[in-house]
Amino acid sequence: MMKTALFADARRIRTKPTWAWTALAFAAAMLAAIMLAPAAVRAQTPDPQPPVTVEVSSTDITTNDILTLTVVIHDQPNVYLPSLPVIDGLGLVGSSRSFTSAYSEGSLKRRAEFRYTFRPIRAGDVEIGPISVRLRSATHVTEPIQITVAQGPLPVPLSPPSQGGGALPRLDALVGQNYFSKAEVDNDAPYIGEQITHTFSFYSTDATRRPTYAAPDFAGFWNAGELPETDGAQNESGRLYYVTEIDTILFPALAGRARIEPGSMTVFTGFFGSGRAEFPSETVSVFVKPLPPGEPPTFAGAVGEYQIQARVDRDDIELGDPVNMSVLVSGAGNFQQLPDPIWPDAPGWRAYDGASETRSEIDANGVVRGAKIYQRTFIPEASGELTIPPVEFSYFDPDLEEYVTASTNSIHVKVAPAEGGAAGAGAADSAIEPAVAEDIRHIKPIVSAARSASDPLGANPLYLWLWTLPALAAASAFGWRLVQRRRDAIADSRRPALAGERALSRLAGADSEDSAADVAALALRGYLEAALGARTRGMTPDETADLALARGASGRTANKLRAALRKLDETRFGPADDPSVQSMPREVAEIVRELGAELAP
Amino acid sequence: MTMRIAMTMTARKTSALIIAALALAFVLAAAPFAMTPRPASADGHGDLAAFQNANRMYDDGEYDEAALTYERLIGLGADDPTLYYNLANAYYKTDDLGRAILNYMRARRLAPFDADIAANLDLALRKAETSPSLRTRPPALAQLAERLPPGVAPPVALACWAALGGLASAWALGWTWARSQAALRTALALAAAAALFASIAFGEYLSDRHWRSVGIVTAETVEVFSGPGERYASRFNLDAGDEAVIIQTRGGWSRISVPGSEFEGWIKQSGAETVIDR
Repeated sequence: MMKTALFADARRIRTKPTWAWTALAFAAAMLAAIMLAPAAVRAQTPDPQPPVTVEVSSTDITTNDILTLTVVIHDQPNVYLPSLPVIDGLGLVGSSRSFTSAYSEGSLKRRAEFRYTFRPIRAGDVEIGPISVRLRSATHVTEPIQITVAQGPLPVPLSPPSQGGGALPRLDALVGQNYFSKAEVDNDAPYIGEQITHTFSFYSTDATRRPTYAAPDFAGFWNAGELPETDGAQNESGRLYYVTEIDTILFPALAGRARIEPGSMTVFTGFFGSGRAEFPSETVSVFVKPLPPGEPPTFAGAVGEYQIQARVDRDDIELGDPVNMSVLVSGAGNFQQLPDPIWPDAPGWRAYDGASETRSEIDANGVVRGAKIYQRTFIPEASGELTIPPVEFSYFDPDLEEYVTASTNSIHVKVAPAEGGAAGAGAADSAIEPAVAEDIRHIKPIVSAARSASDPLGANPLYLWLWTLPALAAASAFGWRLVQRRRDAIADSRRPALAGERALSRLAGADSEDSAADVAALALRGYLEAALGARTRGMTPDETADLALARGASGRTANKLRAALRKLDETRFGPADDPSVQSMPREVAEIVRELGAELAP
Repeated sequence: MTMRIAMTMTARKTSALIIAALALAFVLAAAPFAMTPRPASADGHGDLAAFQNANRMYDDGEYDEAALTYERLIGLGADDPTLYYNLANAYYKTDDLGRAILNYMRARRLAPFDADIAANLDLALRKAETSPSLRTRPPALAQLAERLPPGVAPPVALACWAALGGLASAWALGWTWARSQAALRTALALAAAAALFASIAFGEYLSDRHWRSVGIVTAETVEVFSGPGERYASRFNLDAGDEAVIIQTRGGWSRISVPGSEFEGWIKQSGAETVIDR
């Protein structure tokens, strides 16, 4: 019994601490869980996406490799170009960009990717400095990246161009065909970045068919565009060919052996172009030489021939006022890939990069010429005579086969103390960075229908046709009026002749009538009224004769008319069987005929 | 004498009536062209509800959805400055500055005196940091026409011209009143009015042609190439809201020039939209 009690006490003693330890362990576990849970959740949840990420294709490369730098900007409504630093030891040979938008997890995800391709200029350690990217509310600056560049094997020199024979078809071999193409470059051993011209020539014996050109893809080259097509005629071994030449301006992007794949011309043959035949050129080999060592510290990869100038908008300012400097780099070269000058430190100034503008074109000699203008703003930090140091721009001149450094002059600016005390630099900042702080005006609740956006009536052909109708109506009225006048004139001109005919028909056979004199008088008066265009019934014989004379009758006829009228007046009351009266119709008929002849229009 | 005066009065009235009838006939003939063929309109019952719904979405901050609804209404044929203005506001709120500027410009073309449209367009242009020197201006005559009520000048010009034609016809036909001093004064006034309103109508046409060629970059950034394809050299970039004059369109590519400069190149056709659809 005692033993049992002892055992029971011992169990109680052992049990009590076990329960307590279990409770304590449970509490500790709960506490740990509570404390560690957020960390665990954080560990499982992906980190929030930084707005800008940068990566390189490799951090260990050789001088023969290409390095790709990718800058990705996430979910920014407005994307600005990343501002790359000058990278000592790398030459920029290409860039591309892509923008994608996609709905994901209920929201629109936007991604802008900028890819830059660099070629090492020298072996050694290279640092890609911080890249700044302008975001909506701030500027994001990335961490620097270290790259190790090892010396790669030197390219194998190109054998001299073959003179005849070989794999490439020569012009001699092609002459005799109706159509053929050939391609060549003006310089088959250029330096990297040096301009070359690829000429594709199409020979055809038929000038009527217009061929279609398919350009090579020019992989490994920057394509600066095609020159206008030239056409000409060429006599080859007694055969006349029409030659179409297409020049393409190229800049080699990679050192070493490069191949320009064949371009081709397609000719549509047969009736209505039912058939087609393709005439490819040969492949063109180019050996691209790397730039020689010994580049100056301000060299960033420019190849060509350049000048640099700088000017400021004013050289006498007050403290706090900005000075805007324009730097112009002009010359010949690949302006689309031109690296920026290395901006020197300007003690006493705060400098801000502004916009740059590039313009290039191909001149009459087929050389790409252009200019790039950089805008920089300088804010003085103190008053006095301050100097903006010269800007240097180094490039490799392939004609001279050496590096050249062009430089601007120093620019001196007088900075007076600000009126009413020193103006803070912040004021100047606000002057050059106009803040768009205000918000837009609110939407309108009611549709106004103020104006229709239909096509303008003035552009409607039917409307334009309607304009002709009033003119046509007026023209028709004028025309109708002219026709009426002409018709009246014709009737007027014919009236004497008609009256003459009527009078003569009335007089014919009147000799035998008793009233021959009356008939003759009536016929003559009627005729005279029509022929002279006047009422002659109230006129004396002399007045009537004078009128006839005035209208163009001869004196003799006028006298005969006068006599006849007097005689008719005399015979009105005379005997009807008077022989002289009987002859009156004949006399009058004669006068009518003579007047008809003399008064005819 | 009294009868003669009465006859003259009758002839005068007849001439006036004929001229007025001619002018009226022409206005009626031209009116159908001036009317807008609207397949649907935002003032229809369902469309009005959709418009108000879009406004509610906007007020609730659902700018993407509001923009979609405004776009749908415009796609149905509704053509209204308020719609374009509200749509532009919705795009502005989503930071799509290119489309905001495009639609503010469309709204401004339809309502040139609207102060809200002008203020918001100005704000959007400043936010997009587009240079005023790189923006186009229509010809002076087109700018004048844009400030006048649209669609009025063409039929009025035609009516004046028709009345002038009627008067000339009456003169040719020898109607008494048409040969009087009063008729001559009327003819001169009609000729002046026809010339004035025809000029305004021509200005409207120039304005339309101008805005059909002006494209606004709606993509965030478009690359301008030296030829119609990505295989050509990239020359420069245009940003959202920039203006570009569309010279020619070929195979999904548009040849553009930058106003106020000599820059030219090719961009993807989808990168810019014209103020008036081509």
